[in-house]
Amino acid sequence: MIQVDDLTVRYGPTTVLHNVSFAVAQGESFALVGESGSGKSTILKALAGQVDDWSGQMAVGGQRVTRSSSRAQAAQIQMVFQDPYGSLHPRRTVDDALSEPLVIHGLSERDARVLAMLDAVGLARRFRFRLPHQLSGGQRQRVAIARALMLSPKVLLLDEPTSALDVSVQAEILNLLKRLRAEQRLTFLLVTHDLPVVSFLCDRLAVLRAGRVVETAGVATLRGRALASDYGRELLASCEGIV
Amino acid sequence: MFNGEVVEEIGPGALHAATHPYTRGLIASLPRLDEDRAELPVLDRAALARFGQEGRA
Ligand SMILES: Nc1ncnc2c1ncn2[C@@H]1O[C@H](COP(=O)(O)OP(=O)(O)O)[C@@H](O)[C@H]1O
Ligand SMILES: [Mg+2]
Repeated sequence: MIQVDDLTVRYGPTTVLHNVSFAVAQGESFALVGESGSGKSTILKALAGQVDDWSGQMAVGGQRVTRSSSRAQAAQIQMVFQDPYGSLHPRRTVDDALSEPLVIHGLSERDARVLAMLDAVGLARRFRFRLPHQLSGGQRQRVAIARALMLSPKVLLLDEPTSALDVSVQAEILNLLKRLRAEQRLTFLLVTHDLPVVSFLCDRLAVLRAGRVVETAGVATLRGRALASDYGRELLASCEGIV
Repeated sequence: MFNGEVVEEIGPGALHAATHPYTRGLIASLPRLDEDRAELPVLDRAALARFGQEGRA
C-alpha cells in the first residue's frame, strides 16, 4: 500500500533523508522510530506531497506520488498530528472541521456523514457545534482523527498522535486507532519515539538514525528485545526500567 | 495528582508499589513493550470518584 524506494530529501543544502526504503502492505501498521531530528516526520510529509526537494520513488495504493498529486490521490492519504490544534482552525466548530472535506470533494448527505463519524470516533453528538478550545486534548485528537477519516482514506499517516496526551487519554486514543484500523481496513504509518506504543499498535517498524534506516524488524523482535542494530539496542535500553 | 490533589508520592523506581487506585490505573493504562494486548485498560473515573469520597469519609 505504501512503497518508498531510495527516498532522499534536502532542505536547502542539508540532506535530511538518505536513500530511505521501506514498504507497508495493505492493512499493515508500520512504525518509524528514532530520536528527534532523525527525519521521521519528513518521511510522512514527503508521502503527503509536502516536500519540494526530493528524489527516489514513492507510491501509495499503487499510484506514484508525483510533484503535482491530484485531489483524488490526496484523499487516499490523510495525516494526524501530535497537536490537534495544528490541524483544527480555532474559530471553526467540530461540525465545520468534519464537513469541510465533504464540501471540498462535493459529497452529499453531510449531516448523516458527520453524525456517523462522531459516533465512530466515540465523540458524543453534543460536541458537534463546539470549538476546539472547548474540548479536552483527547476530544480534540478524536476530532482530528474523525476529520482525517471523512473521505474514507486507505492510509493514515500518524505523527506522534498521542505524545501530547496523559497516559490514560493516550490509552483511549490508542484503543480507538486500533479499532478503527480493523473496522476500516486502514493502513497505518506511525511516527513515534515510544517503543511500547509500537508494540501495541504496529506489526513492523523501521529504526531511523540521522536520516537513514538502520534496521527494519517485526514487532515480535521488538517484544523479545532482540533488535539487531546498535542504535535499536540503545533505544531498547532507554525504555528499560519503565514499568 | 487526581482532582487537583496529590494522592500519592513515590519515586519512579517504585511505581510497582503504588497503592492509590488512580496511580495503579495510570500504570495499567500504559502499553507494555513485551505484551501483545487487544485493548488497553482505561481509567474508570466514576469508580475513582467513589473511592475519593470513601477515602475522605
Ligand atoms: N522545513 C524545514 N526546513 C529545514 N530543515 C528542516 C525542516 N523540517 C525539518 N528540518 C530538519 O530536518 C531534520 C529531520 O526533521 P524531522 O523529519 O522533523 O525529524 P523527526 O520527525 O524525526 O524529529 C531535522 O534536522 C530538522 O531540523
Ligand atoms: Mg517529528
